Amino acid sequence: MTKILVVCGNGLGSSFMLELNVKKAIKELGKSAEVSHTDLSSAKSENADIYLGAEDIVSQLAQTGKEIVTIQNMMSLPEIKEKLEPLL
Amino acid sequence: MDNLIKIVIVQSIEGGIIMLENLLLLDRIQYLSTADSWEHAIELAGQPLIADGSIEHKYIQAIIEQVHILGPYIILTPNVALPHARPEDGVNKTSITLLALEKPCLFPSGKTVQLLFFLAAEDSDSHLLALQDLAEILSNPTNIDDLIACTNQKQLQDTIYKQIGGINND
Repeated sequence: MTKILVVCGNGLGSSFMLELNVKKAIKELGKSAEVSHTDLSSAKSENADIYLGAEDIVSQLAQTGKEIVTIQNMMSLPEIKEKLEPLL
Repeated sequence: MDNLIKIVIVQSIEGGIIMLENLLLLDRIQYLSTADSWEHAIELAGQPLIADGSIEHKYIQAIIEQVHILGPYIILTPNVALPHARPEDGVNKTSITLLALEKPCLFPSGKTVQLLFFLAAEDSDSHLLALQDLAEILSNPTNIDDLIACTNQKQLQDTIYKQIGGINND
């Protein structure tokens, strides 16, 4: 199953709220994926198929060659669905 | 949602369950016309928690420092920020405040903010139910517009309580 890691600066506030919306988006798309959240430093060593978060944060994972999804509006289900659909 | 259900059960047993409506008391809600800078806005939003000892002043500094380093990742959606750092940065008690600004405040990257939900979490899970409700509220842009349209503390509280009451927890 596709594993999605939601990343934020410290892993306990915005990433949790974004994780809830990612789960909701996947459900609305009728797809399934394993979703969890973490902080930026842990994300660098944790394996996942997709790393998703605010631009300022996930851009720092870019050089690691990971599949990255940048979210502008963390509360927008339409944006999350649009960006995740082609990858699931 | 499975993890959340587990958390609810554990917290019910321990009596540590904290809902958004129990956190956003009137003395935690502020309505101000303007802030001098985004740093000042975060400072103002945290003031009620400094006053009652829920956080140490270094917690506010930690939030500001992280935004300087990582960028404005605390902006969840246009006009709304969730300033927060880690429990070990100086949190004594899980709390949330709301600061509404009449005039938008400019953050790094040119983003503007009018609503600041200042989060202090004493551990990694006692605040999650409150955040779940907040996520539900903020995913509806009309709710954000309604909060921004408020012009005093009481109106803000009534509006958010009404929004919490309207959440369909299915």
